[in-house]
Formats: sequence, structure tokens, C-alpha cells
Amino acid sequence: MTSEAPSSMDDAHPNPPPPPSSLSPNEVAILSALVDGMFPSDDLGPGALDIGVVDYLLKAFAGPYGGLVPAYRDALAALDAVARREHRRGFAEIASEQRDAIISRLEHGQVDELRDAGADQFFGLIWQHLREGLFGDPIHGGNRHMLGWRLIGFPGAQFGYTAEEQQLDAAIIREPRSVADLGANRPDDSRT
Amino acid sequence: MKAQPEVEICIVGLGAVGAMAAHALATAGLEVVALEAGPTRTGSDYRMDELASSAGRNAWGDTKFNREVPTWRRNLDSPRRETPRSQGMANGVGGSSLAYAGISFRYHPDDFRVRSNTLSRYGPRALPSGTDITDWPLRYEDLEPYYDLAEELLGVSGQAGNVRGTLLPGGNPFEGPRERPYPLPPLRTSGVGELFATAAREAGYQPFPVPAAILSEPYDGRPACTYCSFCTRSGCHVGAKASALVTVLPRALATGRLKIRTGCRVLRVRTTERGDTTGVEYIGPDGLTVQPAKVVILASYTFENVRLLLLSRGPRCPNGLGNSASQVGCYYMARQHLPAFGVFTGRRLNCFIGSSAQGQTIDDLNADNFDHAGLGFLRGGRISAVNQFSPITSTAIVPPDLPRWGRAYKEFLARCYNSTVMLTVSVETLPYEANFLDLDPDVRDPHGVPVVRITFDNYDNEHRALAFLQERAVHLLQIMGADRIWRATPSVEAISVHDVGGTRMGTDPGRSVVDSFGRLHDVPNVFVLGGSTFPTQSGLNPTLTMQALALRSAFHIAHTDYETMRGKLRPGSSPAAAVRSRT
Repeated sequence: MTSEAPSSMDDAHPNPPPPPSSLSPNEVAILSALVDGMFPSDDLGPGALDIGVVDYLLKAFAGPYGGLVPAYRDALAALDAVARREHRRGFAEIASEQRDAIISRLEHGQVDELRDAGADQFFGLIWQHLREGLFGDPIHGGNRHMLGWRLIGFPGAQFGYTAEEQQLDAAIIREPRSVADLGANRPDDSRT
Repeated sequence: MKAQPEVEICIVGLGAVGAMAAHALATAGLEVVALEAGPTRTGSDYRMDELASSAGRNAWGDTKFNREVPTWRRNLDSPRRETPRSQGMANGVGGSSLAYAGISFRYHPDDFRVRSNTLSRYGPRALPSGTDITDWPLRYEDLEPYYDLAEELLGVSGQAGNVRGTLLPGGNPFEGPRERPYPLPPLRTSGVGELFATAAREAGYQPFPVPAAILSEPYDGRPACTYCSFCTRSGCHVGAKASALVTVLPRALATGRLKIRTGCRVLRVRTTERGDTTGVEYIGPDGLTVQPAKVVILASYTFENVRLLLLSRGPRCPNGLGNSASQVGCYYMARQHLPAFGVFTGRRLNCFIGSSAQGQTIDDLNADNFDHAGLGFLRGGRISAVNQFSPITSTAIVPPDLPRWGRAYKEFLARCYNSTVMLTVSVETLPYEANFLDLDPDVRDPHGVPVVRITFDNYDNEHRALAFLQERAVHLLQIMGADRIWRATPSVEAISVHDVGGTRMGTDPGRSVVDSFGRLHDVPNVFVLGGSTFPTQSGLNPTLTMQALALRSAFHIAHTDYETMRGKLRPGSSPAAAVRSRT
């Protein structure tokens, strides 16, 4: 494609579709409702939206997971269609009980629209990505303020632990760290 | 096509196996060129980042493996499916030795003689139909000196169980006689490890610490393990894990006789009308290039060893190099797992600390270490309690009666992530005629070269062995005091990182591809090293056996006697010092 191509395309499409590596605002809203239902904010602590799972996914779609955008699009559209058929509103607008009932069917591969789209493995995909956004290192765009790690008690990137810390019932009193925090504190690694 | 000057030895692939061979051959005085498809990197290039090194991303396989992941089908009649894999392979100098767990077992003497021992103990009807179990063309005793040397070069930490026939308390009573103990004491035993070992003793088993190519104490100029929890699938930030980069490669480079060329992707082995090889062709920084060599050694992973042979067709080998008997690709064996899980409500287990090689294990239900009469299967595997309970992977461990989402899931993770233990169960896969590797007729890599197609499934022997061991693991969890126990669901791992077979060794050229030194039966100056040469898989981790075999082959190729070579190879000076002395 030459450098002139985008302007001529703009002429033909005043509202051009988003590039293949990103989701539309409506798709982001459906995705947000989905991960919010899968990992809600409650008295136990922050949920997927607070922890930055959507931010993580959007960053991944613009990078290593660009190839998965079509699969996400199809699945999000199918979930939205189910909500509209059953509740006359979009997936992002229905009540949380209605949403959870659809997520439960999603987990068990019982969403006909997804089966028809050949996407009955979608729960496994988004479940993996949910956990990556919750518990991966913050450098990837999720796990904001290491809230995911704090919730489960994982201290992140540590250079090592003592024998006492490996004993049963030992309390690990360490502030979580991202690899981005290690920097100057690295032990001598010039030899490796 | 550009041509490099001829060398004596050309090694394809500079991972755990190729580097071991390169070290021995360069030290013996031979001029060696190693062609590595990936880049140069160091242990600390692998950051403490679970996501980057996960099976899905496998950032360390971007230069090769990720672009040519083998395809998979269960059998001849089933469709191609997404290949189920637990990890990806890494490409670069040192290969996957930077990212491996470092578990360093010697195979049992019995692992070299599965056919003979099965026939003598259980009779011919015990051999499952569809298998072709053969003895190895060498015995444990032939390999023992090379195991010993490999352990010394790597700095293996462990508790010996059998030194010259004397059983030692706390070690593995089923191991073959070793000339001397491990170079280093075992890695520390964690609280969970102790809990497992106590339960295993109560159940009548003989637990012992997993032998690991990870330093429990400073050794050979390298510091000890810090138990950081970013080990398997990561590089070591201090060099305590015995990657080729901190063990054999610095010494090999210090000889001045090893040249490493990175970014060089070998496409085929060249053959002549006479039926021997003249070298290899590769795509490198200068485009398509020929590297002439007197001897070619294929030391890549199982898939690539098989693929290169099948791609190297010539006038004398229209079906691929070394494939006159149509044996290349046959008897592929991937490791199968079926863990059990337990929750210890209210307890802090701290399994996220440490490495997956830092564990306690039992060997009582492995190989032919127990009587199989009436069990309906041969062989077996290990049950272990291991560490490195990394959060992305381990938050997939959920009791089956819980949803994997919503408040119930979140509550389980918040309360039980640090109270859950996994007992790993891994078993030996038998060699089946139905499980093999060939070239995929439809799928090609970015160079236009067909990728490997895996045809693989589990059969009754594996199903029964896995179920048998999983039940024993559940029993151990009960003794350990878990108050909520569940079993993993059976699945197939087509790529397992213990993937062996495909160019099996043997004495009969009609039923094997290479001899005990890895030399092709068909071609006198081409050798194949690595797990692809294994006739049977063993229930133990394969890397140390590959490394010991690589040393044995290198000594054979160099025509040197063991004692002379050993004296030249053994550690004594710091590898780091050796590197510094070059620069």
C-alpha cells in the first residue's frame, strides 16, 4: 500500500472501520462487562476492571495477540446477540444476574451462537487471558499496582528467599515487585 | 550460493546436547563450527516474567520454534487440531538449557533393557500390541562414566542412592550404581517437600530429593541458587542453573577451536553420489550458504532432527537421509502427565518459592521398580511435590465443582492460592507404531519448508499407568492432610519437552536409524544426537542422558580414550574466568 492510500480510503469511508488490531468502543464495552463478570470487584478486593485486565488485553491485541482479534470480535458479537435476543439489551447493558447466566453457559460451551461461529473454545482463551491480565507482570499492561498479586499473596519478581520463608506457615512479608523495579538492584549478572 | 571454508565438524543446533558435544570435540583438538538458528543471549535476558516465557507466548522461540510449531493429529483418521503443548522450545545459543527445569536423572539400568527385562519377568504376552519395544544398543554400565562426567561439568546437586553397589540412606534406592556421589548436596527441602516425604515414607515409599543441575552451593566459579521462583521456563539471574552458557560453552570457546554462527537456519544436509555428506546448507546473514564439513552432527530438538533428515533428499536417499529402511520419524514418544491437587485450608504452603527442580519425589512406581503382575500395564513414572507455583499457571488449578469465574473463583484464589499443592504424576510412554513424525503435506514455515506433523495419542498402557499413579498421589495427599482433593482430567500432550524417538538407535539397520554413537546406519559421517535417538522413553527426565550420550559420541568421533579426554574436560578453573581470558 502506498502512502497515498489512506486518504483515498478515507474519502470512500467517512467512518472507516477500526484497524484489525483494535476493538470498537462497543466491543470494548462488551469485553469489559465480560471480564467484570468473570472477576468482579467486591468485598474480597478489586476486580478485573480495577486490576487492568482490559488495558492488558488492548495492549496485547496491538502486539502479540493481534491475530486473535477476529476470534474475540466473533465471540463478543455472539455474546451481545444472545443478550439482545433474550433480554432486548446489549451484553454490556443487561443486569449482572442475566450476564452471569450467560457467562455460565459460556463456561460450559452452551452458547449456541458461539458454537455456530466455531468459537466454543472461547472460554478457555479468555480465561487464560484474564489470568494473564490479573497475575502477569505489570510491564505487560495489566496487574495494576500489582493488585492481582496482592490479592493472592504472590510477591512478584524477587531475587530469592530464605530457607525460613520456605517453611510451612511462614508468613512472607515482602512488598511485591515488578521486573521493572529490579533495575539497579540487580545482583552481579555480568557473568551470566 | 556462498560457501564457507571446510571444517572438520559442523554441529547443527547449540543447545544442551550440541554444546556438550562441541565442548568435548573442541577440547579434543577438532575444529568445530556450530550453526545456531537463534540469537546469542544470556540467562539474565530472561527476565523474571512468567508471561513472556509462557507456552502461549514463548518469547524465546520467536526466531524459530514459534514459526514452525509441529501440527498434530491423533491418528491417521483424525483431523489436524491445534497442537496441545505444555511449553515451547527456546532458540538461541544454549537452546532450551537456559529455560529448562534442570532435573538431572540418570536412567535406570532397566531403562536400557525394557524388552529383555519385560520378557524375562512377564513373558511375551506382556508386550502391548502395537508397540515395538527394543533394548538400547548400550547398557547403563557403558554410559556410567559419561553420566559421571556430565554431572561434574554441570554441577548436579543431589543425594546419591547407590555408590558402587552400596545403598545410601536418603537417596534413590532404584538408581544404578554410581562411581561416586553427586558433586553437590541436594537443593534445600521446602516445607511442602518435607510434608510430602514424610507422607511417602508412611505409605511405604522411599522419597528423595530430585537431582538438579542447579547449584546448592557455590561451585566452579558459579554462585548457589537463590530460590527465586523464576526457574523453569526462565533463565537464571545468577547462573546457578547449568545452562550451556555458564558451563561447557565458555570452556569450548576458550580452546579457540569452536566458532559459533548465530542466525543460521540449516535447511538440509548435502549428500553425494557416494552416499556420504559434504556439509550443510543454511540461510544466514549472507543468504543461502554452504558449510562444508568432514562430519555433520545434528543436535537439534527431536522435531528438527527428524525434519532435517526427511528434507535432505538426494540421489542415494530419495526418501530422506538415513531413511533407507523408512524408520525416520517412527516411534515418537511425548511425556504424559496427570497430576492430583490438594488444598490445606488455612495453611501457608509457600510453594510459589523455589524451582520446579527443587522437590521431593518417589521412584518406587517407576520403570520395573515394582511388580506389574495383574496391573494391566508396563512401566510407570514418578510422583513429586515441586515448587514454583507461578501465579498465571497455578490460578488454573481450581476444584472441579467450582466455576472458573465469578466470586466463587475469586474467593478460592484469595483464600487458597497459597494453600494448594500439586503432586505431579508423569509416566513413560511406550513406543507405538501408530505414533510417529513426518512432514506435514499442507503446512509450511516462513521459509516455505514443511513443518513436522505429529501423529500421537495415548493408548491403554498410558491410560492405566496414569490412573494408577494418580490414585497413589491422591492417597499421598490424604496422608499429607489435604482437606480438599481432586484429580486432573486426562488429556494428551503432543509436545511435552520430553519428546523423544524418531531416529532411534539400534543394532539392526532395518529397525533403527542410528547406532549407539548416533551415527546414521546409512551415512558414515552424519551423526544424530539428542532425545530423538531414544528407543524407549523412561519415566525419568531425559536431558542428562542426552548429554551423557553426546559426550560418549564426541569421544568416539575424536578417537580419544576416556581417561585422557576426561582429564582435559573436567572443571577446575572458572568458566567465567575462561571467558574473561578471551576478551
